[in-house]
Amino acid sequence: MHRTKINAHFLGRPVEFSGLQKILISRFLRTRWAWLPTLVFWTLAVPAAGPAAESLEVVNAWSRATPPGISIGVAYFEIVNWGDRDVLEHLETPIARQAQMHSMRTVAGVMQMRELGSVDIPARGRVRFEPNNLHVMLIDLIHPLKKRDRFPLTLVFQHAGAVQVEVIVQDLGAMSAPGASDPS
Amino acid sequence: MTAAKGKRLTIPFLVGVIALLAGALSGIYWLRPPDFRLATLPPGPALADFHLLDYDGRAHSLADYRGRVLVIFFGYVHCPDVCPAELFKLAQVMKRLGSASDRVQVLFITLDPERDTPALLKSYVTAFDPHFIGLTGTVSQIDKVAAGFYVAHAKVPVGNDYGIDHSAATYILDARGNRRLLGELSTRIDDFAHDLEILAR
Repeated sequence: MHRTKINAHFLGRPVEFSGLQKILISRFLRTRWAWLPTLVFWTLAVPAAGPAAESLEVVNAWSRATPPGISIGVAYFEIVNWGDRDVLEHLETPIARQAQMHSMRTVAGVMQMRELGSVDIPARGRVRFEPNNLHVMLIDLIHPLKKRDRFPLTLVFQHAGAVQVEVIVQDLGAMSAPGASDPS
Repeated sequence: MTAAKGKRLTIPFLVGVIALLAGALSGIYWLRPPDFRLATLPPGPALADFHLLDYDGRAHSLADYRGRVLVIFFGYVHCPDVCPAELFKLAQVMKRLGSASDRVQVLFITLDPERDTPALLKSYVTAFDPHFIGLTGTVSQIDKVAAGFYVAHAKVPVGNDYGIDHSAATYILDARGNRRLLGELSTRIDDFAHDLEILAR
C-alpha cells in the first residue's frame, strides 16, 4: 500500500496530521466519495465568501446628454446591497462641481424636488435612482455631456466606503439605462 | 283580404323602421365624442390671452396660434429630472405625428424667468426639437399666465441654489384655443400622438 502525501493548509500554515489521521485521510481520498467535500465547499463556502468580499454593488449607471450652455445634468444608477444596512453619504465626480442627491415626488400633480443629506440602503435590498424618483443632480458641469460620453462617479457609503462607477451618457431625455428599452 | 293588406303595409313599415334605426345609429356614431386617451378638461371660462417673448425676442400671444393645436409645458431649464424627460417625450410625439405635426405647436413656458435667459432657453428648448418654442416674460407676466392654466409653482431652496416645485402636467388646447386635454408624466407617446392626431384633423 503506497502512501499518499497529504499537504493541508489552514489559514496559510501547514497542518500536521497524526499517523492515524493520515491513514484515514489517504483511504478516504481513494474512495468514490472523495469529491464530496469539494462539492460541499464550493456550494456553501464560495457563494458565502463572494458577496462578503464585496457586499454592495452599484450597477447600470447612466446619465442624459445636456444641451449646449446648460450647466446642470443628472445621473441614475442602481445600488444592490447583499450585506447589512448602509448609508449613501455623498457623491463625487470630476465632471461637475457638485453632485447632489435629490428626491422627486409628485404631490397633487405638483412635482417636488428636494436635496437629501443621505440615502438609506436597506440590508439585502436595492435602491434605484431613476427618472421621476431619486436622482443625482450634477451642478456646474465642466462641459456639456454628449451621448456615449463616459465619466466616473464615486459613491461614498458609510460602511462600504467609496465605490466608483462609470456613467454612460444616453439621449437628452432618455428614461432608462443603456440596453434597456424605453417604455413608450 | 285584411291579412294581405296588413302584410303589404308591414313590409314598408319595417323597412322604414330599420332605415330610421340605422340613421340614428350612424348619427350617434358620427356625433359621438372623440375617444381621447388623455384626461379631458371640462369646457371652462375662455383663457385670458397672454403676451410673452420667445427666445429670439419676438412677441407671442395665445391668439397667434388659432388654427393650430397647442401643447404647453411649464418648466425651467435647471430642472434635471422631469423637464428633459417630458420635452424629449413631446419631441418623439411630434415625430410620431409625421405630417400632422405641422398643425401642432409645442410651447415651453419657463417658470424661472430670472435664470432662464432667452439664449439659455433657446439652447435648451431647440435641443429637443428645433420647432419647439420657448417663452419667457417678466416674473409677474409668467405668474399671470401660470395662474390662467392653474399651474402651481413655488421656489424652494435646493443646496445653495433654488429649484421650482411646479405642476408637471402638459396642457393641450384645440385649434380654437379651448383647453381640451391634460397629459401627465406617465402619459405614453402613443396616447399623446393618438389624441393630438384627432385634435389636429
